Amino acid sequence: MKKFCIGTFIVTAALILAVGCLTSGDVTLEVLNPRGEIELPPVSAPGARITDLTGKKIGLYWNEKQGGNHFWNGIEQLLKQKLPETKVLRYSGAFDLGDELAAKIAKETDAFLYGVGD
Amino acid sequence: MSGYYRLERLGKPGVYVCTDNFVHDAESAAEDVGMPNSRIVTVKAADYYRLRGTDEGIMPVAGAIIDRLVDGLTRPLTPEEAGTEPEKENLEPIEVSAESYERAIEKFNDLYLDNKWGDGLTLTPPTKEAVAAMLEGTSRSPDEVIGTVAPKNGAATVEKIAINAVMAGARPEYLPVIIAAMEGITDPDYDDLHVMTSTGSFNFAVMVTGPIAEELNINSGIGFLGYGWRANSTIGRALRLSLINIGRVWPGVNDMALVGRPSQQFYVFAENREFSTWPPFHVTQGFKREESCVTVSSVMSAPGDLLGGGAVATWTPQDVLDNAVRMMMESRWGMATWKRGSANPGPMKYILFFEPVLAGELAGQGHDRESLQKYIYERAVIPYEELTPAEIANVQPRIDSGEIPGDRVSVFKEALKPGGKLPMLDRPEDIRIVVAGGIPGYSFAMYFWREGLYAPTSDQTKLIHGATLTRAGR
Repeated sequence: MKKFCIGTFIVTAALILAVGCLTSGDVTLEVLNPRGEIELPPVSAPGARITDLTGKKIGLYWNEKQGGNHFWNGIEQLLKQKLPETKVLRYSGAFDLGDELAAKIAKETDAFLYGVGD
Repeated sequence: MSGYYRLERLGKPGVYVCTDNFVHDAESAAEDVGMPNSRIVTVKAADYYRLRGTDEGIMPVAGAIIDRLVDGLTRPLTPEEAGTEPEKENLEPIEVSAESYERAIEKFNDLYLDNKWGDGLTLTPPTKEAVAAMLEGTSRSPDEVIGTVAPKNGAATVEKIAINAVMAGARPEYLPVIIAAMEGITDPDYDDLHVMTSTGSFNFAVMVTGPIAEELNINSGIGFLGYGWRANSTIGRALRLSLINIGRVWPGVNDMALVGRPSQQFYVFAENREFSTWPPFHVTQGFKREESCVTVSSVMSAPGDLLGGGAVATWTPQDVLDNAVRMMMESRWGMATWKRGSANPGPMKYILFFEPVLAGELAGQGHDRESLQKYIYERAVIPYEELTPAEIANVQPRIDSGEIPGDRVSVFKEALKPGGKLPMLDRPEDIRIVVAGGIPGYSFAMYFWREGLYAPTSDQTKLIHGATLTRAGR
């Protein structure tokens, strides 16, 4: 019985102390950061612009999402009106252009407009 | 947006065109590839989607940006547009102090949820002690990199996964399952980018097979895709949080799911072994019967197409099989325009969920998985004489590109002859049959594209290993 009383006293004292700490002082949680480390590629600037598009070839890329063809038809028409000396080349394909088609477009054009339909 | 950068990196000046509701997505992608000052021109989403159906209708939208497009191609770059290297992010532990434990918990949740480090529900604080306890569930090193998570390719270490598992309220014995699922999601052959970011509301189905499912009490009976089971709910939540925090994905910023990703805790369930006489699913993927595995799939919806069963209407096994064939035949709508890597990339894979009574009936008739796959596959076909020219024309490019597996090419070549029958699926194994649910139960299908848009597959099966607190999965 005595042992029980001492035990009870210790537990009660510990509780009072704990509650005292929680209510009167600081409670500090040290929490770990859930974010994954990201290795970003080196920053690069976009390609140099062409100040005069006269006589240049502009590629239009569309990823074949429905309706995008109509939009790019309009862009082509307006480009030809605005820059009659400019040639427009149309391309379409996958969401990710891929190296092969990118190389082809780069070879055949001087500048490009790129849209994914969203 | 990756194509835009390929061309810019090849020295071609370009302008990226998107709607104003996608500009955050474009800017986020621009940061990811290290070209934060890309030239982006937007059109009004409200006009674009409404008017894009015709040349005439969309013309005002095109007209509104034509000057900006020309300007974007011709205006010289400013020094600022070269961009500056971003500062290294601080990922050190964080201290949250308050006058009481309750207030500290509240402050922790405010901090994490305001920072978009959560899923909108309150989180369990990932203290060092809690994470250490979580890590006791696996023998794998905390520093082991499981893979990188789209869209920002954050490194998924075992420790980071454990931190997110604590936040989700998972138990340490679930950790090996969560890690195995993350191995599947981050496998370079798995298209996690599309399922995490697409406008389509795809989601992850996570199927646990083998003896660990029973040990962890993962629900496979009535309500198996619903709430109430800690393992199902917190394994899924741990995965969702891992993708949010490690992949850095967020709705409306770079996760453009238009109606969200219903079941924010994924569809986590177990194969019902109690009522299945067929081998565990993972055996079909080359694993041993006694092993435990996780299969992740990028499903389009759940429960998807109902095939039969339930407590209301009567049904027969033949009805269910007929409905499965009919469902597969309905995918013919896009067959003529299937194109690898496009928004309509090709044929589907199906997960057929057979409820226990149906599975028992079919097994009683002598069927196994292979015979059912063959039965359905051979009926989901279009006679050559009924094919449209566009459908016929689209088969050969799929053969030439290697998209149709080499061992199936002869089947498709034969299909393009008089009397031939063109299959809707590339191979019988693309029909995946699992037993799940209770009695009564529904039989239904989930489906996904056989190939991803940005990676070769939309599903992966991984072995659960390294478990320390369960008999299975060690």
